[in-house]
Amino acid sequence: MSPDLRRLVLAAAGLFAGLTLLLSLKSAPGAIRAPEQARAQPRTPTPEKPPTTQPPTAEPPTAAPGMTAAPGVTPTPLASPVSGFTYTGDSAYTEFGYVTVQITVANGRIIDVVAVELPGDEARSVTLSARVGPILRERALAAQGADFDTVSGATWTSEAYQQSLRSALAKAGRT
Amino acid sequence: MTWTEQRRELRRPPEKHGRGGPVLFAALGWVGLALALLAWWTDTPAGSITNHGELFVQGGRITGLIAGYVLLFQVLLRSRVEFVERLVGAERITRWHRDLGGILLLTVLTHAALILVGYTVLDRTNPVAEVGILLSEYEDLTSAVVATAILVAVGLLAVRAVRAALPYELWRLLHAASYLVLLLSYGHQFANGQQLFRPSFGRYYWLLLYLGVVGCLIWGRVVAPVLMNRRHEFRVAQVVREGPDTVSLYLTGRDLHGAAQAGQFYRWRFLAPGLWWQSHPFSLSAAAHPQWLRLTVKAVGGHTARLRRLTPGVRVWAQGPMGSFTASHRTRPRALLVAAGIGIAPIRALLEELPLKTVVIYRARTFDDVVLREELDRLAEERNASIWYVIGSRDEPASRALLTGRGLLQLVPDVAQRDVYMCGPRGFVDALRAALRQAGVRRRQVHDTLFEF
Repeated sequence: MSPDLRRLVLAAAGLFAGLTLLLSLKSAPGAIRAPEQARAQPRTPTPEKPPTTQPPTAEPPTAAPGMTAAPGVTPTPLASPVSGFTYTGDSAYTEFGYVTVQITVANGRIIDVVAVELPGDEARSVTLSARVGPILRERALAAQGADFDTVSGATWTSEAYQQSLRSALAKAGRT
Repeated sequence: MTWTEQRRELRRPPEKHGRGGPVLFAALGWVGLALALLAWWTDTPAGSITNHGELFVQGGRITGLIAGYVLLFQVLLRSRVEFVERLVGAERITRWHRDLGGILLLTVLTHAALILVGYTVLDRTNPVAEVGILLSEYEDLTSAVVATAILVAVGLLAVRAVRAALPYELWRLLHAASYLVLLLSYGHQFANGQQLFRPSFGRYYWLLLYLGVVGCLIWGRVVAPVLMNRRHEFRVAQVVREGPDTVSLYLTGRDLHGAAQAGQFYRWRFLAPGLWWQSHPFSLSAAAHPQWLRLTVKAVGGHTARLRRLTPGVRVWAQGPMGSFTASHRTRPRALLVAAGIGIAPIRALLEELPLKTVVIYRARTFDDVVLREELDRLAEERNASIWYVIGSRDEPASRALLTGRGLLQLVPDVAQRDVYMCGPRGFVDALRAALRQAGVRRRQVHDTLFEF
């Protein structure tokens, strides 16, 4: 082996040893689980918020293709105050952070879905949430519930979104 | 007026240079790396790695930080800024740069692999789909992929066998593409780096590193050379034929007193038609004189062959002086100088500045290939030095004996008590290094200057 190559192999061994050391120091005690068991655990239950009667504080939904698929909901009138009820779902946990969804119900219909919390701790989840958030909202409005396809490449976030949404729907008495 | 016509006094050896430079610089490098990893350490709560996906992603972040740091360290090493050249020395810089290049490539590829595997696990998908997801999510990832491809290409070109097959100028040009890596990976590091993407210690530290390194690069590569050339204004004064294909170039300039030490080199750019677009490192072949510097060059390539036709008055742009192949880096009171072929140029200069009673071994293929003989003999007489001319190709007995521990001890019985300065083709230098070890010369007594830069 040439001296150049030998030094490179030594460096590789050093890198591997250093990585192992650093990672083991930050690992959870006990065996590391496969990720399947770790997903979507509810966070410590948030105190239940009673349904508010004042107009929703959430921003009015902007016109989006997904909205028009929901019959009976016309985007324009929403700019003026609408009476409705908001319900906040329980936070759902993903590997990347918590997802909390708030819905606004008026006249028996879901007129808005707002993710008050999306994973944003990591550089990756910030871009992911920015991409996925609006898509999930459209799908939830179109489906008028939590039964819609997950967004590809964001399965975890989608499932946590649906979980929190279901809990909000339950609070609204719509199961 | 050439060197042999000068009246001169016996030169004294220069002051000794401190030996701790490389250690100090390496220590600074390690501290900097530790700070980079500290950003990760403080950012990652203890016990937060709970599954394999996270394990790989966190490993990817660590290697990402290391790779980014090594990249900056590489550029700093190559910035030619004076404090780096003085602390580390050009020869060691070249060696470190080469080793770190391999390490950089290794960490970048490990980083990419760990991140990909980690997110594949976390997203519960397959690696091919994950590549698509990552590329669509990260705007700056595309340029980082291009940067990685450049690194891989440069790494392959740097393999000795490949490199030897490339013309020097082409190699230099292709290698300069590495600077694109700095530019192309910048966005990826700052936008996607977990420790860098939002205001935090890591981000400010990284910004500081980037500013410092780019500042050193501009200073060392642009500002300092401009100042130096304005001060000296080098011009070709005379071209003297020394042998069948060897010439000496005498260069005049202003304010040359103490400009360089014997054994050092500059990168020279001759501002003449057909020559101005490339620069080459040539050692000084005589200790600096208040009125002129001299280089001795063997016409081995297209560029050097044209140097023979240079005319007096041509302006010369230089960068340097560089190199720790100098008398001030000696560790012992006596020295042995070993030259092969045109490697005699810096050795001849060093003979003027090393302590008296130096031994010189000069290997040349034939008698005709021996250059500067008259000067060497005169200097040997003046400085009480002895010179051995070893004539013959490298396979002949005399040459082979020179490259064994026993052969060296026969020629120079006290070699283990001497500093050894050697200059020649790589194969020769490597073989000699092994022979010196056999003869009991310790590593820090051995100094070499490389032909390749």
